[in-house]
Amino acid sequence: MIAHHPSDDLLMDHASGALSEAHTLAVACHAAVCATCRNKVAAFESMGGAALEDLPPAPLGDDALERTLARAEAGTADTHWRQESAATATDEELPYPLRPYLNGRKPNWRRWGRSVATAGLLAGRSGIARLIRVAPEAVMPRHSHRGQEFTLVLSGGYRDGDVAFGPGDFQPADEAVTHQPVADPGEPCIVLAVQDKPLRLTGLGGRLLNRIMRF
Amino acid sequence: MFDVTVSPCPAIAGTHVGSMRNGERDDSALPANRRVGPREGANAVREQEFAAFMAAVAARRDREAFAALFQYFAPRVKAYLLRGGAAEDAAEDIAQDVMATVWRKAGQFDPAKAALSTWIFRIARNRRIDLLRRERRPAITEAEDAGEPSWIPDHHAAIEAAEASGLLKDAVAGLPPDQREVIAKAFYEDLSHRDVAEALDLPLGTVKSRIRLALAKLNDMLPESLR
Repeated sequence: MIAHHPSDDLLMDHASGALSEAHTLAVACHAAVCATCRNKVAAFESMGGAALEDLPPAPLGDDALERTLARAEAGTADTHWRQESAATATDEELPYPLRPYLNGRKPNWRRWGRSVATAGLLAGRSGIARLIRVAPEAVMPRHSHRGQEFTLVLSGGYRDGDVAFGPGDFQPADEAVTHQPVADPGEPCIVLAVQDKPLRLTGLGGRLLNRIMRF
Repeated sequence: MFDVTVSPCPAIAGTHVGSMRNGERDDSALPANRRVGPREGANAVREQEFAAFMAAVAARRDREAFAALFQYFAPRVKAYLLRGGAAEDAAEDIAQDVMATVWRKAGQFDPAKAALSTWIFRIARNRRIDLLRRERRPAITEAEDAGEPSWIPDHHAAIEAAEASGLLKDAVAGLPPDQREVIAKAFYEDLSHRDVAEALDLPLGTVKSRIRLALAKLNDMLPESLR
């Protein structure tokens, strides 16, 4: 039973496309396993649709319709990178939004001592995302608090002070109870950890990018 | 609004909410929470028209049906992109690209699952994200990941979705101005809550609570069956 969810305003930012890629990934993976939040995202998207219809229309060029049909029939539309719903199942049964980041392979685990392993998924202007696997009863690593960090439990669980987190639970770093959350006994705890990478860019493209990276 | 006659979608034709009596709609047989006012009824009718146009595009590449949809949605998609900070040329180009996707993916639109404006909003939002990031993008809704063609929708569900969309639209219009302002900024301009707070010179907590209130109010405005 999932007890910890992204806030409504985070879900709305997600629905409106305002989140960074790393944050979008974490919220999308939570929504993949949580019907309540999925429905909220859909409700916010409905609001987006209603808001779209509300807008005073901005006229297009006279030949816009013809150009659109030509474009559609030439197959040059929709050239953005498409999600691969990779049929390759991994041992960990990861949520589907993660699959394109694995390119059909299992996570490339890298060990850090006896208790912790990580697998990088995303690193760049769009933020940082990685899987972290922690041995039972070991302390979970917390990353530096530069930029907003979210943790999503994929399997196993951990305790942060008195609060228990299990599969599907979502915890923002600024709602951390202690600095030493501990993995539950019995099985390894695997989480998705994401953080924005604060980066200030100049210029018009930079200003647009800065907006969605939430400074 | 539409001067194109298109035969209604077969799944919806022949069905109606309530019954007709002396040419007037008689909703008295419906439970109270299913009766809709004239304005909401008009939105539901329009959603059914949209569904019919989309079905025509999907089934037989009907250009007249598409032209009607283009006439309505393309300028609104462009307005959304302009509000989000795109330059005039880029907004024109992306709006055409979005509508081209609507044409190509018409078979995937399922009126039972969402209003057409919601479906188009998703496409426009995703195209904007792609443009801003120029990198891969996680799917925001499950619907994006499914490449299946649409199936014939259950007409009750389609009518409910249409009503919900129409009601939501009216509900958004009926929100108090301070809540509408915050929602409009978040959706039109794709701003985070922090950015909205800065732009409107409000505390972040105030922005968050206005959105929470708006969501609660919108939920209340929907009839029981559609929450």
